[in-house]
Amino acid sequence: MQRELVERARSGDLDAFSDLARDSLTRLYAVATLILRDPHRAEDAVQDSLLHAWKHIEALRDPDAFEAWLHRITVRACYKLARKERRRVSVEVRHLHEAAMPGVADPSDWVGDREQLFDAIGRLPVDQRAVMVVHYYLGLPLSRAAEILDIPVGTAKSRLHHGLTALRRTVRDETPATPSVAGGEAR
Amino acid sequence: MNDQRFEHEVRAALDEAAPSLPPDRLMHAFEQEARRTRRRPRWLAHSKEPPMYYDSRLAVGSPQVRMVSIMAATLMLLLSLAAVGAGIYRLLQDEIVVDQSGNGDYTTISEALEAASDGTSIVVMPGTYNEYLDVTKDVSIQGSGNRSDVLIEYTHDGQSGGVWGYGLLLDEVDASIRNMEIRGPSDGTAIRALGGSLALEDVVIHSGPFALWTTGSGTIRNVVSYGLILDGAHDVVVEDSQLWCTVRIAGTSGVTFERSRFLLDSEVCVEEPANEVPESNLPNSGGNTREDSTFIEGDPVAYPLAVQVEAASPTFVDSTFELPLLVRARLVEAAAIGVRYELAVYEDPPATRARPVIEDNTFTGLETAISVFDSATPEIRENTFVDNGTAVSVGTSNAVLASNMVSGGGAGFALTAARPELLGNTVEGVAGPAVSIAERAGPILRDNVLCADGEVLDIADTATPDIDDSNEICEVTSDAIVVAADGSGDVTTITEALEAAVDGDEIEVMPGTYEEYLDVTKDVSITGVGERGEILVEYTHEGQDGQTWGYGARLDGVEVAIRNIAFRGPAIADGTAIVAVGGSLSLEDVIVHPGPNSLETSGDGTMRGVELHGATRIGRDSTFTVEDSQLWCEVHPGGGTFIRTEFLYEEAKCPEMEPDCCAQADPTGLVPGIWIETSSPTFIDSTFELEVEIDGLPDPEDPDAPPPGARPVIEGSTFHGLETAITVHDSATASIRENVFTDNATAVSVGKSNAIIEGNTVTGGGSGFVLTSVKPELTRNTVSEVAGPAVSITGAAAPILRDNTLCAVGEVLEIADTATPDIDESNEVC
Repeated sequence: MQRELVERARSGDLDAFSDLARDSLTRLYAVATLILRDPHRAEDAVQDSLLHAWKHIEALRDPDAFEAWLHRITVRACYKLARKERRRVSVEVRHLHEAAMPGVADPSDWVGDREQLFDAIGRLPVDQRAVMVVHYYLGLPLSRAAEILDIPVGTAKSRLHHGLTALRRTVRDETPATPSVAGGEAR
Repeated sequence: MNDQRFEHEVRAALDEAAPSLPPDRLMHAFEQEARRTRRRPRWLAHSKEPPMYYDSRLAVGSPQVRMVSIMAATLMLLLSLAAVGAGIYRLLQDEIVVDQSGNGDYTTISEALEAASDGTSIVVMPGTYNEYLDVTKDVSIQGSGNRSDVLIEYTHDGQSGGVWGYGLLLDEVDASIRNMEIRGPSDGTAIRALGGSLALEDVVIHSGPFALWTTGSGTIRNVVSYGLILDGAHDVVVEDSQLWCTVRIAGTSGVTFERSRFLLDSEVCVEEPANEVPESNLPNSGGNTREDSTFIEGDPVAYPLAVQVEAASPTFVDSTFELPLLVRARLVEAAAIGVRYELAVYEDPPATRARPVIEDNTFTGLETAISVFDSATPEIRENTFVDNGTAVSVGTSNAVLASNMVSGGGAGFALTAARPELLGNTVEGVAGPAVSIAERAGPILRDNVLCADGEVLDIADTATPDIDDSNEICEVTSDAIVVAADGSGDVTTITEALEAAVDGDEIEVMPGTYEEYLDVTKDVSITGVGERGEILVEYTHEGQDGQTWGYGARLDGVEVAIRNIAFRGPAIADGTAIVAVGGSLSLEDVIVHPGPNSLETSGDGTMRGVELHGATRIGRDSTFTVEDSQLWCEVHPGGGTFIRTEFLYEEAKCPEMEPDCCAQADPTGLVPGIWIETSSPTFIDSTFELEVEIDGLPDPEDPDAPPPGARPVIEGSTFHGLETAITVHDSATASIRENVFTDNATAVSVGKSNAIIEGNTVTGGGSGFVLTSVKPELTRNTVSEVAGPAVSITGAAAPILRDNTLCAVGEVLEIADTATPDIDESNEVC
């Protein structure tokens, strides 16, 4: 079915392309939001990637790889927007969830505050964040994630490793002995 | 928190943070924008478009905001027009389309390269481009359509002589080549990258032996190449590629192969012989810099069908090898062979840099999968070796071999020197040895599981291995069914073993006396383990079915080998120790103790080192070879061939049958002799203490004609002390050549037979040749010191005598009046 839609889209059928895009839209938007951490910029990234895909669908050699291709274009669009944003410096104030952060000294006892964790993910370099999103959120093995990110598997492994290490360090550093409110961080 | 738990938390955090649905306007906005956007023509499918951003925040808000949006949109339209102009300009600047049909900017890639500047993308439309390319700018060259749609087919015509011929010569550039095929002559290099950085993706290179040669850096992904040289290269990643025939990695740093296949096709990969290069042309080893680089003129380099690693430390991961991997610390090839070789940049002494990592790869069907030479110190970990002659051979190297799996094939690890470490490896199902340790080696073995079908460890006397109890060394086991009368085997009787066996099984019989008879209906081998004669089957006929004569072993249409077993049975005439009905029988080192009948077979087979002390009967139509054996008393040789066989007689062992034997219920005794009855056995280099009686059935139409079925050959044998050593009658046509007869009453007696008697020597005894009928031929025989006559010709015999030397103490020639011999002057009659 998808193959037929891709063939129709390749021959200029926008409705067919829209059907294909609609099937992937939720995940594309989620990926873009998680990487960019900004729903508006995520919309822009998805919009841009869909237009790019529509105009360049002739370049897609394997119809069965449509969704992976679309993800790849979206991630690239996210990178592009993220690079533009890199010049800006923003300050965010993180509000730690006091009730969810018991006073434990040993990180191994930490049961996890996912909002805090996601906040920490958001402070990772976009390259590391993108690997995590594609690997953990899309649930793809690292080899596939590397394809979508257009990087060698070894690089994907390396980025994931460094990202997880940074997250662990953040969790450890931000798990205070007593509840507290952390200040802002420039990035 | 452990890793898994933490990763789970990360995953959950992302899931929770992800928006559940995208805004509805997103799809709608896309479709509106898409309908306004003209699809790019197919020929521009790979070219770049300026980005078109849609700011979703403009689509929401108050009417005022929408008004602002409209104004902004108008402004954007104006800006877009400017952008389009700029895009066209950019297109002209950054992208060049090459199309043979004339629909692009240029019709050849060379023209495009001339017009290009750094950063230009050259899109090549489908077609075959007969040109070679000098790439001196940072460009990307990408084929359009399918990979096979674009072919660069080059020759060397017009190229400078500075380097070998090439298809693409990239000189210190940062270039990419994608989605095409390249084909050229076999004596050049399809892609030659001198330094710089090369990204090669989705490319097939048909050339050899060095299809791809780079001294720079880069990525090689999804490439098929018939040969690869990474010579002084650095930071090269090869992924998901197929590399055929020969790969050379020399003096490199930071080279990694992942998920690649090293392949051999005997029709495509041809190993070139080495060529001598003058000493003056050899590169000056060590301390070379780029500026030192010289091209050594000479014949093409010799290249083995292998992956060669020399003075380099590449990493091989998750790859498959059908080419052997050779690891050396030094640049042996370059130094020894010289050849036309561009010296690369070697910043460090090469010998210190040979530490390749070979991990999680598969090696199949190779003579020696990995060979480690010199002082290379590779880490060989977690690889799988299947059905190789030898998995890993380690020379003067402290290599580390850890957690590898070796199965099938010949040997596991061959360690010939130094102190390599084997840690946690498993070897199983190899012929053996699992590990061989030569005299100069002192390897360390820990936590290995080592098994082999044969010898597990082969350790030279002067070797100094360190093998502790952490290793599991399998005992050599046999799959044979072991029979031991004392209960120490699998079963206690051979009959039980035969019942349990299936075709192809081996039965090993431990020393002892086994009181049983054997019905063998399966293709098995029965081997006695012990000194000859210690394994005895002592049989009676009790319980046998009576359909055949009594027997010790009966083989019915099967392929059976019996080795080192002795048989002894009752001394009555109706029993036979071994009966083979058809099939194939191999007897080796078998003894049948004195008895009436030792062997009777109608099948084929062989016999070696056998002693049969009773009658032997081989079928007329059998093909049976007997070597180095002793056959006693009575032999019916049938279709046998007897080589170096002794036919022996001893009165006590060969009791003669009484004349009225057939009236007895259980006749005893034998009829000593060798009885050739309308059959054609061959005897070579054998010794006879039994007389040979050769009979042929007369042809009913022509009683005097020799029958076709009795043509025995007796050559090079010795006959001693017999009444009549050989008797030929009843139309047999024996061929009796080059034998020695000593002290027989008569050497050869020929009746109705045109026998050929040639080159024999008769010494001592009574008479030489007695010829009683028809027309035998005597040629080059020597008779001496016999009582006489040397030759007796009686009846109507008409023999032909040529070149004989005939002497006797008494009468030399005895010729009856009725005889008509043809004796000419070529004979010497004493």
